[in-house]
Amino acid sequence: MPETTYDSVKRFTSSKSVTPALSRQELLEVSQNISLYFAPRISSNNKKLVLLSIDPQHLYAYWNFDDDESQNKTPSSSNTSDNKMLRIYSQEVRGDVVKSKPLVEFKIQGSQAKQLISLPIINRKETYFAKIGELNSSKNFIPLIISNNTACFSRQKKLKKISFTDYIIPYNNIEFKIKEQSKLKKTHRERTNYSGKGR
Amino acid sequence: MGTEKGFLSIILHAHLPYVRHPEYESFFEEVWLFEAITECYVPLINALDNLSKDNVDYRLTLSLSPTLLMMLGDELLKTRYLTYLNTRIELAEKEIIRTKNQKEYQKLARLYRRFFIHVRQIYQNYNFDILKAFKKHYFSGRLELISTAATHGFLPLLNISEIAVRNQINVGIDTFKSIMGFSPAGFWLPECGYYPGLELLLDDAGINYFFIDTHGVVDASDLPKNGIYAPLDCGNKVMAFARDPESSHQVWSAQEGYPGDINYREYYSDIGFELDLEDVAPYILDGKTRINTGIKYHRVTGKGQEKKIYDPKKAKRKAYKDAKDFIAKREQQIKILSRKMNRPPVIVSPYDAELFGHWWAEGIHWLESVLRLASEPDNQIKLVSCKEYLKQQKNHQVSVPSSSTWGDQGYSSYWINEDNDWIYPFLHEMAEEMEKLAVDFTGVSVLPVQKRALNQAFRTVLLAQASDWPFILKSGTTIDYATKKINDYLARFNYLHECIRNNKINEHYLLALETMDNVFPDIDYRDYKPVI
Repeated sequence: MPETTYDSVKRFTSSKSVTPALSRQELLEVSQNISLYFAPRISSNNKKLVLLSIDPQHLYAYWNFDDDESQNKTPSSSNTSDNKMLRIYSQEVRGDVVKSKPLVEFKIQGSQAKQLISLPIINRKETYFAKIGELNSSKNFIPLIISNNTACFSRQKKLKKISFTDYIIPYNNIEFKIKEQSKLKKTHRERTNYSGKGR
Repeated sequence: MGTEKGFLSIILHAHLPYVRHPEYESFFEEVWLFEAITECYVPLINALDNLSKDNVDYRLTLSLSPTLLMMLGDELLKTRYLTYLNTRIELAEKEIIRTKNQKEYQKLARLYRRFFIHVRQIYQNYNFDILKAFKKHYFSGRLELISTAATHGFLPLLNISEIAVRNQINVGIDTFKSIMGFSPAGFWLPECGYYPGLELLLDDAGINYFFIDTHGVVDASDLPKNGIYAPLDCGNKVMAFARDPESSHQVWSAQEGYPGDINYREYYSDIGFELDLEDVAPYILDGKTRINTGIKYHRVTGKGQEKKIYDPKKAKRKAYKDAKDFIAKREQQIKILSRKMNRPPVIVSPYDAELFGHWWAEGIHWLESVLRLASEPDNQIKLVSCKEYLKQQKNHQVSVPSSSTWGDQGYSSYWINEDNDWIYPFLHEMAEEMEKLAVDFTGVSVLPVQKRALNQAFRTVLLAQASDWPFILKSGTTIDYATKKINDYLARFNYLHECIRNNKINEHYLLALETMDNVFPDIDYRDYKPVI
C-alpha cells in the first residue's frame, strides 16, 4: 500500500513550513531550562485572600500574606500568630441597604493557607466575603485582609428523580414538581473527554 | 415553521486541550487528536456528506473549541497525523496476515484496513483540511458552527478577574472568526459553567445564545414558565438553552444508555493491550508502553462474561434501532410537552462530540440515522439550530439562570477539590500579573521584541487556564502530564514576566516559546488591560 504523506502534497495546500526554525533539541533545552529555573512560586509580597464558590453548601478560601507585616499593623494584638482567624460573612443587599453578618469562623493553624468552608445557612440572595484578622487582648477581631465577594450557588428546588415531565410548569399549575438533583447521573465527561483518557 | 409540534436541537461539543509538542519527535498526548480525527471528526464529515448527497434537510450544531481549531490547521500536526494514519493501515495489514487462521478476526482486520483507508481518502479529498469540510456544511445552512472559550477555561473559577474571563471569551471568538471567516452566534460555556453576569460579557462579544445544564434554568431568578423547554432571556437578549435530562440520559448513561448495549464494540478491548508485545511494539509508546491502537475485535458482551467477537453488521442494525427509539421518545416527549406549553417546545440535547465514533464506535451511524429519521416529513418533530429557533420564536421569558455546570454534582467541585486546588493561587496570580503588564505597557512605546514577549505571556496565561488540567488531576488519568503542563506554563510565564520587567529579552528563548506555544497568532496583550 503506497503511503500518503502530508509532506508530499502540502505544496498544494499550504505555503507554511512544517519544520520549525529551531531544532527539537533546542526547543527541549529551552523548555527544560525554563522549567528548572523559573518553577512556579507565589510572590510573598502579593497579599491576598480569595474566596471561591464550590457549590450551594461550600466555599473555598485561600490566602497569602506576610505574617510580620500583619503583626506590625496590629500592635494591640498578641505577639503570637496563634490567634489568627478566618471569618466568613454573608452579605445581603436590599435596595440601598447592604447588610453583612459573620456566619462562621475558623482558627488558622500555623502555615495553613487554605480552608474549605461548609455553609451553615443557604440563602440564594446572599453573597459572601471573608476576612482574616486577629483577636486582640480584649478578644476584638482586628481585620488584616479582606477577600473578594463571591455569589453563592443557589438551589431553590428540591429535585427527586428523572422524568422530563417534571421539568415543565403548566401555566395554571403553581406546584413545580422537580426531582432530586443528586440522583441524576450528572455527567459522563470522564467517558468522553479525551483529557480524561488513560494511557 | 411548519405544522410540527416541537423542535429538537442536537449539539456536539468538540474540544481537546492544546497537545502539540514540536520539542519531541512524537508525543503520546498528540494521539488524542489523531484518534479523534480518525474515529470522530472524519466519520462525522462522512456522515454529513452522505446526508447532503441524499438531500436530507437535517440540522446539527457543532461547537469547535479554539485549541482544536488551531490544532486541526497546524502543519506539524497534519504531517504527524498522516504518519499516524499510515501506521494504522500498516498495522491492519499485518493483522490480516496474523489472523489468517481466524477467519472472523481476519474479516474484522480487513474492515479496519478499509476503514483507515477510507478515512485517509476523505481527509485527502478535503486537502487535509477538516475545517474546510465543516465550513462547506455550514454554508449549506444545515450545520451550525459555534465556539467556546479560548482554551476552555473554567470560567466560574477564573471569575475573580473579569478581564481573565473576558479574554477567554473574546480570544475564543476572535480565533474562531479568523479561522472560520464568520462570527459564531452561539457560545459553548466550558463545562456549561455559568454564573449570573456572564451573559453581559457574552453580549459584549456579540453572542446571542449559550447552553447550561438543566438546574441552571430550573433554579433561575424567576420560575421558568415553560420549564426547560424554552430558552430564557437573561435580561439582555442573550438566551440560555437548558440541557434536556431525558435525551441526555439515553445517550450518556453508562448503565441504561445506548452505548452500553452488548452488541456494540467494546472500547476497552484493544489489540494494543491484548496481543504479544512483539506484534504491536511499533504501534505503541516507545515500543514498550501499551496504548490503544484503534483495532478492537470484541463487543461489549455481558457483565462478567468473556468478551465475544464483534459483529459490525449486527451493531449497525442495533444503532439504527436505537436511533428509531430515540426519535420515538422525542416525539412522545413533544406530544406531552406541547399540550402544556404556549409555544412549541425545543428539546436541547448536547453531547461531547468525541463520544460519537471514538468511545461509542457506532455513535456516528446512530447520529446519522437520528438526523435522517428526524428529517422525515411525516413526523411531529423538526430539527433546529438554536439560531434558527430564535429567529422564529420571539418574546422569551426574562429570568436569570443560576450558577451551574454540567459536571459531577452540577457545580464546581470537580474543578476545585483536594486534587487540584493548588493550581488556583497560581492561575489567579498569573492573571493579576498579566493585567499589571497590560496596564504598564499600554500607551507607552514598546519595542517589537517586547511586544512579542508580552503577547507570548498572554498566550501562556490562556494555555494554563484550560479546564482540562484540573479535570485530569481530579479524574486521575494522565496526572503527570497535566501537572507538567501547568507547571511548564507557570514557569514560562514567570520567565517572560521577569524578562519583560527587566527589559532583558533573549530572542532565542522567546522564539522557542513562540514555536512551542504557537496559539492565537493575532493576540494583543493590551486586551488584558481591565475595561473601565
